[in-house]
Amino acid sequence: MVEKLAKILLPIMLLLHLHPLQNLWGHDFQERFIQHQLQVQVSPINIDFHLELGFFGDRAAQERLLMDLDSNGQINLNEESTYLRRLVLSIRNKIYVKLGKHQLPTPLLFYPKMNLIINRDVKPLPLKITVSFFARTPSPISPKIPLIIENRVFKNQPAVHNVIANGTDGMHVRLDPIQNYVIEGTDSVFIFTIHCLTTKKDLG
Amino acid sequence: MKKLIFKLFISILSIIPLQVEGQVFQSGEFQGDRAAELMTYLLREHSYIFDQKQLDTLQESYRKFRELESQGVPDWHMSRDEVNTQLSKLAGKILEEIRTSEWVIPVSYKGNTPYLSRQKSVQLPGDIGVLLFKIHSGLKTTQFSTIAYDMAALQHDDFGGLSTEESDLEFTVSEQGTTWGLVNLKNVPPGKSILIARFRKGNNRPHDLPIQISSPELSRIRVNVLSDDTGENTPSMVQILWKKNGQDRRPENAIDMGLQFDNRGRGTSRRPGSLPGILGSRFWWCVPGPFEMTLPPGEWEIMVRRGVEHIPVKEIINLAESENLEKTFRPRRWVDMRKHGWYSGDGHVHAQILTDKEASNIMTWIKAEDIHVANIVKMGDIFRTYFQQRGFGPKFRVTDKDFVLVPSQEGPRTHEQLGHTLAMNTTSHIRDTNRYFLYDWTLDQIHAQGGLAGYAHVLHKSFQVHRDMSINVPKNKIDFVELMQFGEMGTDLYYDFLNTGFKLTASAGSDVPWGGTVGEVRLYAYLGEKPFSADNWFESVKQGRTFVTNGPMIDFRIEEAHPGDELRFEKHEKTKKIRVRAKVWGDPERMIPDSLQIIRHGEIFQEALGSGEKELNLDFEVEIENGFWMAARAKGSDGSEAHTTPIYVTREPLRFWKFEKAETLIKTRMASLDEVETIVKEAILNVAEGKATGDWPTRQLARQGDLLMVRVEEARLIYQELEKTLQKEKLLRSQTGNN
Repeated sequence: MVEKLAKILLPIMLLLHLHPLQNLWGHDFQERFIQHQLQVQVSPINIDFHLELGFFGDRAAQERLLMDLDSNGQINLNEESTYLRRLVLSIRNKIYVKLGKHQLPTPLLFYPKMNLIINRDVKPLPLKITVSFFARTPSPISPKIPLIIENRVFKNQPAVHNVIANGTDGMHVRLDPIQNYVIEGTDSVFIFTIHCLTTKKDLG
Repeated sequence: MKKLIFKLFISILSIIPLQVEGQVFQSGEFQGDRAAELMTYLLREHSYIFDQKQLDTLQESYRKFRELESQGVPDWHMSRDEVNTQLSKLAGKILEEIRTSEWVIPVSYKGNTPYLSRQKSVQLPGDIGVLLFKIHSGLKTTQFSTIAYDMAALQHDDFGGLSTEESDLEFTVSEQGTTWGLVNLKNVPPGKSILIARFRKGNNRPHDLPIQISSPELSRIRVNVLSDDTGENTPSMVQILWKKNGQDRRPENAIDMGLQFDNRGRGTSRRPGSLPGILGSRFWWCVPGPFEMTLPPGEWEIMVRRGVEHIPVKEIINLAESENLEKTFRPRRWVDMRKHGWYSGDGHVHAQILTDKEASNIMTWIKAEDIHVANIVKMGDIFRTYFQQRGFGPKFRVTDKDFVLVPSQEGPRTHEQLGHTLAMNTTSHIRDTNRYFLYDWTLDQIHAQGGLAGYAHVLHKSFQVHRDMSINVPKNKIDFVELMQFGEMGTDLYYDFLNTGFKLTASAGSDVPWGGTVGEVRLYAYLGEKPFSADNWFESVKQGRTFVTNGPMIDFRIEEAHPGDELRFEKHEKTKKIRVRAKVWGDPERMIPDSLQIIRHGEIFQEALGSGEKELNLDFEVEIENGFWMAARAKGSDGSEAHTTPIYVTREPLRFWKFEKAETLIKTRMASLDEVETIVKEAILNVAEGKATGDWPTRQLARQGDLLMVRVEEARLIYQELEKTLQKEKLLRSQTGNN
């Protein structure tokens, strides 16, 4: 009986906690934002995009709640897998790469990786999800024609973006200055530009 | 055309049956995501089972699979089932390429009973590993299954095997086809072990099969990191990466800062770094000194960093089974900025410090990153505070030789209204939620305590910070603004305010735990001949003698003036020439300078482009004309950047502003003040209409709105005065022919 009651009450309590009314007992504003850490690796053959999505505080709790299908307050491996499978469907083709007027296909690369940071509770505890995409490096590629990249993953959610671009196997990459790292509104797209330059020595 | 090629490709696949061990794949349910999940584990975490040629082939095949999957779904004149079937064949084909590998465990069904076709023990590389089953029970379908299996969670049973009672090492097998099953093993003990795998086919009784695995004895390694200055053991940032799977291991004595991050940001001790170049894609542990740990045998990459002034060290070692190895690293300095009179600091570090142990953790971290001053900030919002401190002021500083932790605060912080303020070197926590939107009250308190006041996140223009900047910068209540964070630089707002004739000092802060590691961006303050102390350092920041960087170092002077200084000239000295000198240099191993720019009034005035030189220099003369602000900005070849605080050059009686743009800039600032008026009015209206019952910030904003509007009006008057100054200067400049 107690278990049944808990099963019913727990999600309701959590939903209440996520409701704007929770402002009454406070939260950190910054936690509304999903942190997008995008690593772009350009080789002569492929351009790989590894995007780490960081969820914090109440925003993390929301995502954990979505995973907890049996509403027992704990996320098991099956629930994690189900969540990731749904995520895969929602993020397909959400990285755009344009070279001049041409848009390059950007399939998913690796299957998403979940990091619940040890704790599987449905609580406001951080979590990270890494998703990967790739495009084929256009050939020839000139520094004068930049690659314009759009990150549309979770584009309806406020986000703070960060990009690191590296060249490998002889490629050297320059990232143009980014005007706005913070996307506060909805339906906004984070756009940046990289130029593929000549080889330069990197560490190692 | 692409569609045609794809259709052709699919048609060929459809016509030519894939011959695999005499089997033919036929149509069936496609499990693309499950196949991708399995392939991801193989390629990303267990690539050790392939040789390089196999790996290259598989990776390329896998990418083709992904391309077809992504392109083939929406518009093709082929049903989803047909496409799936063909893709399923392709996924199966990829795996068939490794079917004869010793790592694949073949399981065949006779009737409803599974048999191991090969009884050989599976040799794992260490305490992790993979088992890949190919379970054959028919010809029709191909399916994929992935299981994560932690052997630390298991218990030995009475018969010497490992109990599977609580385990989930169970495959649901395709009733008429091939099932590829992957087991991702963790915490595998050394020596021989038996795992019981369970196979369930349809509604039949499940069958258990014993799988023998074997793992090598672990090796031991001791790592010492020496200071380049003293030759003695020193804290450092370390990464230990197993080449077999590309995953890193936690050093045994890595400091645990997790709880000090108050469950905020990236609250872990495994720190990412928003670092330029290849350093940025890695994770780092902070170690206080020598450490010893067990590792599986094999090839390991050890990388050691000590902040931006040192050259990172990387070494690949080969550990034999049961070997004991000791390695000593000494990351060399490529520059010692202390010898040039400059000391580094991180202006924005969040960490709870309530005990000596917690202080010691953060002290170890800043020593590891070679950061001399860490501004440790307690954070607040209108509801509460975070990252608690024992106290504020000199008594609560933590000093160890020339490293010092100084407590201060970030707040008030409003996200949708006025931005985040940041303080340095305060003597008590300043907070009054009844005056939370009246930032000037806090800024005045900061200054009254001898501290420095500034804004965070100005580079990102975040949290509507332009609004309060428009109120309080013209009132000279702001000392510094953050230009660098998360490895990035942003100067739009900075240049706008400088171009309006307001002096602002460039600062930088990692904002850990949201950022990666302390000092990943940093500000240097010039102490010259003065000895290092926290007070001297803050005094230099107050004077604006700073530059910010995440790599290159800059030396910038006009005549003998340093960043932050003002050179004042008489009215008649318009054509007088002054000498501008700038130098940028970087770690010759990884960030030779790409460019050095002299920025005047926000635009590139002079530029030197690199072509492989270790340093770039500019040395030229410029006429004073009507005055200006001038700063140096640089880029390193690895994407790193640096920027100085300007040197201000004024010719009486003119402002150093960007005259030709001043009218527009003043209008922009007035528009920002209008935004403040709008949010105040909206808040008051929402409260009056009962729409803000549970919205505490809006209620507070409405309550404090009248007083905030007084501040706005004061600022408007300043801008109106500036408009008058603009008209006067227009006249002056035209009278003297100086326009």
